[in-house]
Amino acid sequence: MQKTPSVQVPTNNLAKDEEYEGKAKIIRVLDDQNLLIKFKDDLTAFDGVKKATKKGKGYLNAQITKILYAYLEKQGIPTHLIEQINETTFRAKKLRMLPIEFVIRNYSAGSFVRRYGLSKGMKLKKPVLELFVKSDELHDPLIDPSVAIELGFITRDEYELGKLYSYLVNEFLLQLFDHIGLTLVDFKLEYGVDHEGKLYLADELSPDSMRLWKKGTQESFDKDVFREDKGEVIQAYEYVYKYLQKAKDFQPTSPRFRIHLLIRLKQGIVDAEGAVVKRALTRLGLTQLNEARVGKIIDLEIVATNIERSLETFSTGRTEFLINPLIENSEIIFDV
Amino acid sequence: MVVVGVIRFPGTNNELETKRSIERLGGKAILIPHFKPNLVREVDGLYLPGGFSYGDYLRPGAIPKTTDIGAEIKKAANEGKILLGVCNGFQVLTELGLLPGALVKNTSTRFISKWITVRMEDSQSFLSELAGETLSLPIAHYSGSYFHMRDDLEKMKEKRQIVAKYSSSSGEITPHANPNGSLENIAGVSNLLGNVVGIMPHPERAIESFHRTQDGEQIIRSFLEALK
Repeated sequence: MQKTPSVQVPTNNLAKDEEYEGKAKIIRVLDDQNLLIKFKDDLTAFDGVKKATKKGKGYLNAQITKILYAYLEKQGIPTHLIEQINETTFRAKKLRMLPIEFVIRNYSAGSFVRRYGLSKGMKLKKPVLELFVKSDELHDPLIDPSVAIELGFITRDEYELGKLYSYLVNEFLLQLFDHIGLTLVDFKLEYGVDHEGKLYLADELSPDSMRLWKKGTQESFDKDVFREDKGEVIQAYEYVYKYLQKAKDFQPTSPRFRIHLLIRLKQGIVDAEGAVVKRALTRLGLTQLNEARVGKIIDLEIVATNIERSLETFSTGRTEFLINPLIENSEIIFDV
Repeated sequence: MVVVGVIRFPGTNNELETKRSIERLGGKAILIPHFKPNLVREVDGLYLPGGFSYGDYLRPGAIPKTTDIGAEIKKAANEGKILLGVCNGFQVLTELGLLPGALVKNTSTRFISKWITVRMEDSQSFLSELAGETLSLPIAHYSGSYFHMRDDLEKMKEKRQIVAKYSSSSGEITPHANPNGSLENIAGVSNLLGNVVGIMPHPERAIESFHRTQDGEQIIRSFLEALK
């Protein structure tokens, strides 16, 4: 008998005052728009097969997440963090979490090495993005974006924006960690959407969800220390925290990204240029041609100093003059 | 004496004959270049002539929407001032959202420059007194095919917003008389209040003794009358 995989994020179904205890965090819903996140001292690996409790880990992850989120907020990436309540607890926006994890890789490591038979530590020519389904039951399988969209796990817009944010977060974090002598090997991001449909970086950002190597080596400063029994995991996390604190005023160079806006005349609107192109191609022997339509691409390069504001300005500007919605359709593609 | 502002965007090329036509009929006209938006406040009505505003980049008439003078034109329309947009001026008014519908490329896929006949419709615009007249006027455009959604068009008809239709010389509305594929032969429309009108044919090119006809005079005269 066939079984429908459960990809519901458990915290999405919590009502007011309800709690959910995950592997590394406890979530408590305060109201429609707020929740509390408490970072636990527990460490798990291999789908929870390996477990331990390390005193101070919750504290360190809360602090590191806070520093990294503040840094990313400064660059215009919206995060769900509202305020820190105590050493291990945040108040954050209550969001509908996407059941998809966005993983960016700069070097080969972990499951990527096993899946493709690579050697560990190979620098990838360009960062790659992989999507995984958030499901313990299914062991977080890799998923193709088109399948994730087709199955309704994420919308096309959520994917496009999540992809853009993920690559930009990578550009910002690479510089920050490089500054403190660490190489950002790979990391996992999660996103959530508020009641207005706005996308936020959510969950956490700590050595639990990324690989950090001492520059020029493969010496781990992340959860691999625990996974592979390579020493005292708390010391590694403390190191990351200590140096991130020192880099508080670090100013990254702003990366650039492109918006490709594809504009097409709606079906039913006569496309004179398309008709002429069709006749020309038919003359050249493409007799099977049924229809040719000519649209246009507007290519914008944007300096990512305040991405959120740039995108807001763009989306209003676009509907108001870049396209005429009576006669045209448009599609946005981001490119980093 | 009433003063007409003749708007000149970069690429407008009908402003001088427009000014001259207005003056011929006893009106006063000043040219308002795109970089002097405040002048719009000092005139009684606006004439947006033809040409290619800002190179017609993006879409004919699209760029003025982002400019200060575009905002002033909108304000003038909302204050009830009389506005006439001709050809590219019509395209600008639709893109500014002051007139319903859109002007898309001619179905023939060609630029069309020729003399046509329009029948003036019983509209609630400032050109309503010309209802039933057939006028012989020139058109010269690539994107002059009037388009709107069917339901919206029906509402426009109810509210008498159709100002002119392409017709035979005897005033019959036939497919043959339609030069560019416009929906229901529409050559001109107005807003709900009737103070903003756009038409594709050029009245200012049918007014001088050396022009083929002088039928444009009636449109410009009605426009000037409405300003008083």
